[in-house]
Formats: sequence, C-alpha cells, structure tokens
Amino acid sequence: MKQKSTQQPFNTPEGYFENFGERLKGKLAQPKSVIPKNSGFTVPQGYFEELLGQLDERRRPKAKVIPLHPYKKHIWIAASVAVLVLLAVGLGRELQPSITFEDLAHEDIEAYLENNDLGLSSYEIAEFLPLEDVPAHLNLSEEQMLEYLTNHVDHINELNLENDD
Amino acid sequence: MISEKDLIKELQTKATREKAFTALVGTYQERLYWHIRRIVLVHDDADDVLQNTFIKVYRHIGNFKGESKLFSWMYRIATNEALTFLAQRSKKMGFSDTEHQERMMASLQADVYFEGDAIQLKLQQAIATLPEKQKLVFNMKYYDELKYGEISEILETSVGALKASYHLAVKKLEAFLKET
Repeated sequence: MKQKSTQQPFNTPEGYFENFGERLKGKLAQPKSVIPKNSGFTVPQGYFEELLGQLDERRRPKAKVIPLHPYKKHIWIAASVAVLVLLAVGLGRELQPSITFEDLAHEDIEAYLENNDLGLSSYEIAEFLPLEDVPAHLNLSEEQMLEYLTNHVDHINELNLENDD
Repeated sequence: MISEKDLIKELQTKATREKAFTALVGTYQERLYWHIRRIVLVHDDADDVLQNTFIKVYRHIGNFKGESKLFSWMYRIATNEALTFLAQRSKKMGFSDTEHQERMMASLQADVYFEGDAIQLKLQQAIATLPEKQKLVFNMKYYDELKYGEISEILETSVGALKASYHLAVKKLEAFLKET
C-alpha cells in the first residue's frame, strides 16, 4: 500500500522508511577506496616489550678503557713531525724555478741527441728542419760535389743510386 | 594517566627522568614506530631510526620549551631521522632517486616482516612514486589517522595545503591501483 503525505502530493515506495536505516548502513559499510587499510607490515614477536631494554643499553655510559700503552700520544707526535717534514720538502720544491726549453744550452741538446738513440731516421729528422733558410738551388760545381762525396760518403750504397743497367 | 605537562616536567627533572622516560617510551613507541616504518619500509631500519629518535628525545628534552605538543615534537624528530636515514643511505650508495626506490622495494619484498599481498606491495610501490610531502601527509592521515591540525603542527604546513596534498595523493594512489 502506498504511503501518502498529508502535506505534499508525493509518494514513496512501499516500506521505504522501514528499511532506510539498513540500506544506509550497507552503503556506509561499503569500502570507499581501493586503498587497503592494512599495509602488510609486521614486527618481530615481543619487539615492543624489548625496545626499552635496548634503549637502556644504548643510553648506558660505556666504561672508559685505559690503555696499558698510551701509544696514541706518540702517534700524534710522529704525525706532526711527518707533516712538518712534508711541508718543508713541498715548500722547498715550490721555491725552485722550473726549467724551460730556452734554458738549455745548445751544446747540451746536441750532446743529448748524439748520446741517445732517438730511433729517428734522417728523413724523419729532416721533416723538422725549417725550409726558410734553405736556398731553392744550390750552385755547386762538379768539383765541390765530388770533394764532398769523397770526404763524407764511406759506402757508395748509401747514395741509393738506381742502376738501370 | 599522567598529563603531558607533568610528563615533560618529570623528564626535565633529573630525579624523575628515568621513570618518566620509561612512561614516554611505553606511550609513544608504537605510534612512532609505525610512522617511521612507513617511511623506511624495512623493520631493521625502522628499529634503528626509532631508537635514534628516542635517544635524541632523551638527550634534548631539557631544551624542549613546550611551544608545540610533546607528541608533535617527537613526531617531527622521528620524521627528520627517517628522512635523513634514507638520504644518507642513498648518498652513500650513490643511487639516483629511482634506483633508491627500486632498492627499497626489493628490500621490502625480502623483509620477513612484510606479509603484504600483491595489492599491499603495489600500494607501497604507488606510495613510493609520490612526492615526499604527499607521501608523508598520506601516511599520517590515512594510516596514523592524525588530524590535519596535528599534521600541520608536525610538518609546519598550513591545513589547506595539507588537505590539497592528501586529496592529490589519494587520487594518484587510486588511479595507480586501478590501472595496474
């Protein structure tokens, strides 16, 4: 049977108010969110009972150990001396002027090149020679050339002459 | 039960300090533990941070002026300790934020004191993606069930900003859990 309002011309379904409270509770009981309320974390059994004891242990002042051989004092002295020595050596090096290429005497360079095998061929050395001072054509007479070859070439093979015949 | 005001007074008095400290630990250990645990995730780390928190409280209680509630002050110390712990570890290992989060998730799965199912593990993965502030606000509101006023005092942030952070966090987490 439909319930009729005494003041308004509106109706409600049959039994609407009888089970309204139940339906409301059901609605409230429904989970609002997909986020689980239980996060899944656990603690070891008896953890909270033992915590205070662990804290007491940490707060307790540790007994001071007096060393039989107080070597630490000597270590500090040794370390201080070492630092001073290192500083003195370092400063000494810092004060010495550094040597540049210009400071080397030509004789020293020549002596070094003569006494040390650099493993460079004549052609490789020639690549470093400046060409500005070399004349394009040398006006040498045949006698001069023969004289130079006689004095400076020990073996004819060094001339790398191509023999067509 | 002893009032907070009396507890502070006893903690600051040498003769009553030990007894008051026992009462303090008994009252707040679980709440602080769970707050810390949700930040560092793994039990052993939470234990370290919780002990450091209480030691710090014990050592600095003499300087506590009572400008905020004792509970808020302790929560703030616990939060700072937990965040510093994570930052130091991350720096020590030379990890980026992403690498660090991945490591934390791996540690959580290996932790024998995590019995979460797939959804709970996914939730932790989702929480890990939140910005620091949203993460804290979400845990404090959703799990610790603190009031916005209390969170405001602990994090020193306005209630309005906290509400916005919380709702943003919930939206993100729900979206993450629904889509995966």
